Amino acid sequence: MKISYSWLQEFVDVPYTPEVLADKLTLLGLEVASLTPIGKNLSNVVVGEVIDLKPHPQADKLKVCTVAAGAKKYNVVCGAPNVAVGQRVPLALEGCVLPDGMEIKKTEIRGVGSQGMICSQKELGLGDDAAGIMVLGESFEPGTDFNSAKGITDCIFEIELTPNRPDCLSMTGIAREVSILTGNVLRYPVYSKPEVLEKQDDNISITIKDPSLCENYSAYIIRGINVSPSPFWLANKIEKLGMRSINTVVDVTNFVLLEMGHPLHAFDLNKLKGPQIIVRRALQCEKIITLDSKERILDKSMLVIADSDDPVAVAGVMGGASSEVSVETTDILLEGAYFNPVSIRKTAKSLGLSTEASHRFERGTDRVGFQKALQRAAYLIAELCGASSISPLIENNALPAEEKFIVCNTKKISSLIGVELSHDEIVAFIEKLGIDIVQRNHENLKLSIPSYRVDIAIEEDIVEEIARLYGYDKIPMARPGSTYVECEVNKKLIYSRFTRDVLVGAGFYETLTCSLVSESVNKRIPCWLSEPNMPPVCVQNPISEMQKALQASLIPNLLDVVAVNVKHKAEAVKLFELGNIFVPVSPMQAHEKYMLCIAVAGNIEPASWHGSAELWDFYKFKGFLVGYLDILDIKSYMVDRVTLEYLHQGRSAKLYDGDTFIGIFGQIHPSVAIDLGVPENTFIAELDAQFLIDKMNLRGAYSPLPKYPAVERDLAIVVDRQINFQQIAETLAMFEPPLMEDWKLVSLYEGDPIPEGKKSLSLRMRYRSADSTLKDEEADSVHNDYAAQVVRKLGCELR
Amino acid sequence: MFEIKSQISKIKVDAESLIRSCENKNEIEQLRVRFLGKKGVVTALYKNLKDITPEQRPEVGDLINTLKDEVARELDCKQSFFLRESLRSRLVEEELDVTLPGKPVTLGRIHPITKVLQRVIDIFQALGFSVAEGPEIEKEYYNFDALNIPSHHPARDMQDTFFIDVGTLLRTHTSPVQIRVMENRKPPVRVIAPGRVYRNEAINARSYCLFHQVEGFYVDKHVTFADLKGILGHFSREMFGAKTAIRIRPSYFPFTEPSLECDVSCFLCSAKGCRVCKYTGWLEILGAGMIHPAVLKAGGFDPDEVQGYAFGMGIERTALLLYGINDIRLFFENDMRFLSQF
Repeated sequence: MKISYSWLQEFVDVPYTPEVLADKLTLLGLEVASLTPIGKNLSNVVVGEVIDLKPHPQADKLKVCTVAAGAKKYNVVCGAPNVAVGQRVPLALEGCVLPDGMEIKKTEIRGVGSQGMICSQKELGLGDDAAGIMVLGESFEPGTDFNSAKGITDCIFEIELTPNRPDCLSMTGIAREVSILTGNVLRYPVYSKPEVLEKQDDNISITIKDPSLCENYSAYIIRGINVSPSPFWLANKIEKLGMRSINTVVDVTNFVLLEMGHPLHAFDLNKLKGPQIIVRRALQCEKIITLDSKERILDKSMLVIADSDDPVAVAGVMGGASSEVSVETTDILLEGAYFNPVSIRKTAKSLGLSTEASHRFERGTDRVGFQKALQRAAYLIAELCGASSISPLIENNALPAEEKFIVCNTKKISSLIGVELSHDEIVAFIEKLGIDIVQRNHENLKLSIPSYRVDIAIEEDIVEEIARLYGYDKIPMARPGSTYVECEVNKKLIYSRFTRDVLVGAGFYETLTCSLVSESVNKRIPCWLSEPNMPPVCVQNPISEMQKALQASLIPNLLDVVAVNVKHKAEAVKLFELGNIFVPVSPMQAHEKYMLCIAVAGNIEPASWHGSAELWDFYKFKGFLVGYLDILDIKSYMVDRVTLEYLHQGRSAKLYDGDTFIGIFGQIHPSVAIDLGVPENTFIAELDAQFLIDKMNLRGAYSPLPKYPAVERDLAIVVDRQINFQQIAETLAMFEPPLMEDWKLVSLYEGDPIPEGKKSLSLRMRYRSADSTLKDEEADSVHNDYAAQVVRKLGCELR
Repeated sequence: MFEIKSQISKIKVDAESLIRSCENKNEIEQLRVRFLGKKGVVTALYKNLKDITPEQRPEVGDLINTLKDEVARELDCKQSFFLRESLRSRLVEEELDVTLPGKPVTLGRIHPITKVLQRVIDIFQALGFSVAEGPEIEKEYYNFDALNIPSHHPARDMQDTFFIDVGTLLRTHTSPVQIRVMENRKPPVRVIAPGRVYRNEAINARSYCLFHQVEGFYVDKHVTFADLKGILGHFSREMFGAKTAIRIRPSYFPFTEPSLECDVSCFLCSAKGCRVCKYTGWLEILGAGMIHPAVLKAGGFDPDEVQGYAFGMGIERTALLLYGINDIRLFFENDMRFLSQF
């Protein structure tokens, strides 16, 4: 909302410069977003009066004006179409530099001397109007310095009001705050009844069908008016605050809106059928053409102002075109009302139409004070438009406003703020706010809340007002964390940190990607945790197709990140992300699951001058994953083949524990790699992090180090090629002798001299006794028995 | 007797001169064999002992022993000299250009958002706050109604919302966790709730459809506005430096009353005024206030018994300021050239 610094001074003395006032308002909770000075640095501009006008002898479009400025007269050549004798105009004289840099000099235009320039609003930097010269009001005295004339130089404040303070959506609203802040008297606009016939019997029927939506509808009938362009002072005020000057009637309603914060509307009375006013809900699919010339289709939830036949305005939002005030209008109905904020908001939302009026009505207007604004506007129109008569106030007060009371306790106020404020201090603050104390009972005060403060509803609202006036900056800082509150261990947080540290130490970059993805992503890379063909959950109102679905896997985004980095010539891409996926369970429902996704591609480390770099392969990636699970002390899992369309069918696996699916890992399918633009040796893993959190043991467990040396023995076997390593490991486990500590695979070989369809494995067993040094013979005997059992079970040969 | 004595001294002299003139490890080994080997000169002396009278044998035996030790010592001495020499020349040969680049062993990076988030969590954990989380797909009730934002309240305009279904949405802030925690616990509670939140906003340099937030709140019998101010001051100094000042000013959130916005003195220009702080010397970093009684009630707490404060801040905004980044999208593109800077 825009506020004029010079206009503000009409309502309250402001003892601050615009900059200081901006800070003060901000600290009072009215955040000033910007300050825009207007009309600064204009020297050598005077107010002149055009006293004579002659055509230019050499040019049809130019005129030669005689402009009087006090005792001096100037000859000025002017090309503006609107220049006329008797006008008071801003005259720029020699030495003046206009805001656009143009310097005014005495000059000759087509053979006629010109001693200055009559300026338009735009040329003076006071507005956008460049159509003609600026015509000033009677209050401008010829010969005076234009710059110092009231209302010319100004500073416009842009205030970002929070939605709870509709009472500040006007000049007087802000002035009220300044008055509270400074203690200076607030001067509400002073106006008096115009000298116009008050026609006591002029009336119109006002019907309110639903008082819960419109509590009070009031109006004046003003007749015999002459609708014309607004005088300078009026147009100037509303234009500075960003409104367009249209005509006296419309400008007055806007002027009062800006001044007092109440939206008003004028109908051309002769275009109202009946004539009568019915405030009612719209019929389903009823139509109205609004002032912006658009046809609006209404529904039953919307409130309209109607005449005897049709809607003539969307209540509180916008008037109708059919009853618009024009230059032909002679009689008007000027309305003011209190509408239900929720109803106005719903209507404005569903029509997609937000106006100055709806903005205020939906935040809550002053249900009592609006009649003052209505009266002010009616009198002003009657005066400015030379009305022949004005009616008394015509009112339907369907639901009289109730006075609002709050009981508050001064002790509680002190305790919430945390500052010892005395009872008397608090009372003083309350009085300063213009809130009446209607009852006092020791610490308890009963307050009558002014009708314009729609935001004050409970005791805590009074606390805020008092804290605000006391000054947030003066409230002391208490020492934090004084009482003991039992803390909960957050295993997820511990896991996440640990994982990040481990992976970062292993060379991985952490990524964060957008949880909203294109719906098509799920088709190529579906969620391995959901039922097949289950579509992802989508937001109903996406910003774009690209951010529509909630990601059902972290894999697609992480692969995109791989692609981005490969494109940027990253040589060794090692990435991970920890985040939530949304496993769809029905079209609009999903389980949120915390996942860890890891991706690698290309070289393990960037190539360097030492020679070729090592590439990622399946076993290196698996080795890394196992190492990671090992450091979490998670051992109870199995690995098996898995078929997923986006992974290489022979190089993809699942991790599981009994019936629980823990994760998947493997090489990206070569055609997916081509589509995405990632290297063929791109590997990905996605693990259920919640499972890891539940199963991890970061505490560690100590077992004593061995005292006696170990003995190692090798076992070389030749087995059928299709026997997988898991089967061999299970067989070894089956016969594991007590003295065996550990075993590992030391070599795997296929090809000559091993027969076709066979493979050779070398296994190394380590034996150790806990209470003596193992003798060779003992180890031999244990190993040979073990080897014989394993060979028999596997049906293989020894080498 | 005399003969054997002179033989011993001659061997000694010979050995010393031979060892001295010896030029490599192999010659030392040959000399060791020649003097001390099984058929060596010194060993042979022992065989001659039998020709000596028993009375003189101990004396001569001693002399031979001494000779043997002396020769062995000389040999060892010379041998270790050669070892030292060969090691020295090996080290010279093995000299590298230490200024050449090393073989790459890249370490990873924690995402800058996580870094800032962890820092915030650390500061509050150290003050005794627990960490709680809530779902990202949230009930409209928790996101709005329970937080004193009824339907058609203008405050809903402050947060453009993604809807999933009737009554279900993507949370627009982490404040719903307040209600969820209160529903499950008894006062006092002191909790922070970090997490992802969503806003239906166009993606550009200044806004994104999601970001991270940390919500914090403390409810107890005597929690005051001054306590809130204290915690904000402490947090700001820990987060932005010991000299950081805060400025709080009245504001409006439906779920707090009184409400405030907290600015910190601009750490980019030491509050002198710069482009980022719009020449005000202040940076807006969080919103806070005393929890609205309607919110306490919605969480099942009795506003006549307890009171509390709550605060919330955006992590992306803080990170943008801290690192002087001008495009929020960089956080979600994950270009390693960007990530490697943190």
